[in-house]
Amino acid sequence: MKSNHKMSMEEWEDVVLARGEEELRTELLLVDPRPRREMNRMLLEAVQRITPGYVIAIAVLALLSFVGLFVAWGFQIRWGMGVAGIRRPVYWGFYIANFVFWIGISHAGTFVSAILRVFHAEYRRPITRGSEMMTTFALVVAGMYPLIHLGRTWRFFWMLPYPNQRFLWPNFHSPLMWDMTAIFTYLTGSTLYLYMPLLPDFAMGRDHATGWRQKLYRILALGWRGTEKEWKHLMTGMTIFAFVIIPVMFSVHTIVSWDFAMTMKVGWHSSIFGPYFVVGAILSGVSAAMGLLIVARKSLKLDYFIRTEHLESLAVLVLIFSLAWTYFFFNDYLVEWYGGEKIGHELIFLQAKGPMAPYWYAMLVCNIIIPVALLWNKKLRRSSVVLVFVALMVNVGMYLERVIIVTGFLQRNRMPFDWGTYRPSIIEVAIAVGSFATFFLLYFLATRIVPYVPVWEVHEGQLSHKIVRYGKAAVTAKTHIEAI
Amino acid sequence: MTEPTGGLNEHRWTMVIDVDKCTGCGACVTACYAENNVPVVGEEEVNTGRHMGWLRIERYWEGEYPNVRARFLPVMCQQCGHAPCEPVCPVYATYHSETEHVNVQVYNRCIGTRFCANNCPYIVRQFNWFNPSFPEPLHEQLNPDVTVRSRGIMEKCTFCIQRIRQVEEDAKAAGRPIADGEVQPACAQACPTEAIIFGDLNDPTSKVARLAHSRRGFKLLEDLGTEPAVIYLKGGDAHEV
Amino acid sequence: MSKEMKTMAEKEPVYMALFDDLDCAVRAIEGLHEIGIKHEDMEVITAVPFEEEVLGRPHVRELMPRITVTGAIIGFITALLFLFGTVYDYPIRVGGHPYFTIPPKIVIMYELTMLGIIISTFLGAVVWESPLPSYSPKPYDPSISDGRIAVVFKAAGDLLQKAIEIVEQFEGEAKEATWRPL
Repeated sequence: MKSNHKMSMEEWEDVVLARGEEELRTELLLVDPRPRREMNRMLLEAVQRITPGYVIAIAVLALLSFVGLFVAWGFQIRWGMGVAGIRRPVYWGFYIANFVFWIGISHAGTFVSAILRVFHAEYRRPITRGSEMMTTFALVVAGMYPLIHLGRTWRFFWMLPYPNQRFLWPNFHSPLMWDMTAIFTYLTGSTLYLYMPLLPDFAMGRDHATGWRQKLYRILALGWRGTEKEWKHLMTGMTIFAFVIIPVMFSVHTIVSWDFAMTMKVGWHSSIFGPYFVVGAILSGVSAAMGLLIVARKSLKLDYFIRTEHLESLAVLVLIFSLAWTYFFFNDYLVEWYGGEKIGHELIFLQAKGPMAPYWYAMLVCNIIIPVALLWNKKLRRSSVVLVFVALMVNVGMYLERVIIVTGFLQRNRMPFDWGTYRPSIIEVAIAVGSFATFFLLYFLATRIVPYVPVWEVHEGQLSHKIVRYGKAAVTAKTHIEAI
Repeated sequence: MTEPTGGLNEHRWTMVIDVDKCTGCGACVTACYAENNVPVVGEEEVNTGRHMGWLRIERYWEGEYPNVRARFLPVMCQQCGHAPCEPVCPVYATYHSETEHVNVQVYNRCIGTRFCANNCPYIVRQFNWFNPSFPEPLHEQLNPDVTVRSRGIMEKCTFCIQRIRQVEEDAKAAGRPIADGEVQPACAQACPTEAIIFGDLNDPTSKVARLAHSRRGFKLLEDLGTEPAVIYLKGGDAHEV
Repeated sequence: MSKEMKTMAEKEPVYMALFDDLDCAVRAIEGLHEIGIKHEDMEVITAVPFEEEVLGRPHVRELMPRITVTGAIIGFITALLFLFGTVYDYPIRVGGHPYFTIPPKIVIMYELTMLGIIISTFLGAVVWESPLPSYSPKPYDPSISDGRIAVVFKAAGDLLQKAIEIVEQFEGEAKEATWRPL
């Protein structure tokens, strides 16, 4: 081996690249290309990976979902809302808190697939579908709650605008109608945004899968071939979608927060609720996506596609949004504590010193201390165990935050005979558990029906990335050829 | 909704409650229960905060021992002019009647979102948590003029709108204006000290029109801008008429 | 596919050249064009999107932005009908609010406009333009979704011979296009 300074430029370049390539290839998906055929087969194998553990999990989830949604909810419809723990003056309880929580979770998918796409963050490529599926199913579960909390659920269709002989239309000035419209728009948009980039992957499945899945993929692929015209329209459509669904995402949670902010209740009537809720939603959603991706990756054995780099990027986002949430939290609370009216102070003391104190402090620990303490450290950020723990804790914290805001703030009112405490009843807990089970059931079923990683996007990314020499380092280079 | 059929003009139904005269006896509450088919929910439910009374007597203690004094404040739906409960109902189950100027609750239309109850600053709206039961012989005293509500429906004080409408129709049929004191909600009728006075603010000769401008007058949570139609009188000579 | 290509395919066979490498495919497309096969008579089928400039193909105008704007307008008009129309027809006084103010109506105007954009974009991208769904037989090969690039073209006689030569020169596999139902 001759010494480096005696080598020609080409020989020296080869030496530098050889030294750095291995590490980059292990770390980064987009510079570690495999033949498309191999990647396709990996995905098709993954979608058929049905282990005994999986079957047991599905069975348990199905049982919990049945008990929660059919049995418990059916009981409530039969006997009335009184079986829940709500009472005067806490007229909204667990159900609305759960509703807001699920709407919050649903923001992750859009964040990952739309916002990261708009910002050309390449690490979004293998994780968009997992996140977008989370959005769709979270919205499905969230959409059940406005029905669950209705006193006369069977009359819910009166909120739909249709001509009738009573000459009545719904009240479009009501924030609940805004909710309905916004959630319907977001659900439609999210489902279509999930479906559009699935077409090429369904086509791949139609070509190479077997059994009942092949028939399903054939129908769902809509005859996709991959001609230039089809691709061009798909890419334009996805660009428009990405730009359009971002403001819809912001508006949805703002509108949900306006269910509270538009009232006259002290503590709820705050102009910061819009951005506060949106930031909280992204925090809980992105951390839930992070957790779910780790679980799905393990279950589907997709370690090639979903690597530490992706999870680490999501962890950085969780840290950023945790700090942003803290900012909005203090904007809301400090302002109320310092210059708010007496009832505002009562509410704050209810949380800081009253019966809700353990939950309030738990919320602060989970939302602020745990992400900030753990995620600043690169080594901890790269550990799956730590990330699952953080994801779990952040979501517990955000759940508590929703419960505190919805049920806690209702417990103190301006006139003293209007105070009351709230405790969720077994029916409310059962329905909440049932809704969680439904979400996981839908998600885990989908992972074995729909290809989990958008292979064509990964392939597209791999074609535009390569390893080059920059000075004495081997680095990745990206060619920027996309339209947006 | 059916058009109101009485009177020569619109009426602005108003209630004046003289807190100095209220003894806290609770006759008004009982009369309201009887008149409006308000269900009795039982001790356990009341303990969890689900009593259904449309009218509540709030008791305040004034002064230090031994000069303590109880004051009673009957609170019912304030029939706000700018009712915060109305715009939030997604199905228009509560709206403002433009001819009687009261806040109307349509039982048939309510689907039970309970948004109106959350937005009421006085927390005067009640919700039917269960199907109401009227154990015998209570079922025999149900008022046929008032709907019996099922579970899942909001309800609240209506200023006994069934009595208002009845008087309006009678007056129109007879072709005469409504006399002051002809409309008596159940609570006003039952009050032994005549602390509750009801009438039409548009009628300059009515008792409420004269009392509305009393210097003892105040409204609950007036600074919120809800424009309640209930005026309370407190703090002075109780012989003012 | 151009209309002529569809009808001609009944009478004349259509050919498909499969390439494993992008550069080979691009040079072959260039070569085919040089020997006289028009761009409209060629179609490129791939497993990943390539820009027109990358493939050396002519730029085609898109209808999509107009479809999106149409959808937005339809959504907005629907919102106006719901918000102003219903209140005009059956006004019900709530909360002392005036009937025809705009601020509380902005939310639904915005959401329904967005819904119009979303639905029209999806229908435009997938259903109208492509047009999908379409399961009828078309030239296709399953190896395309495994990463190969297909160039489908129409040629006959002498031209066909030259075309096949060019394809094989660039390491492609030329064969008569199979019309598979999708």
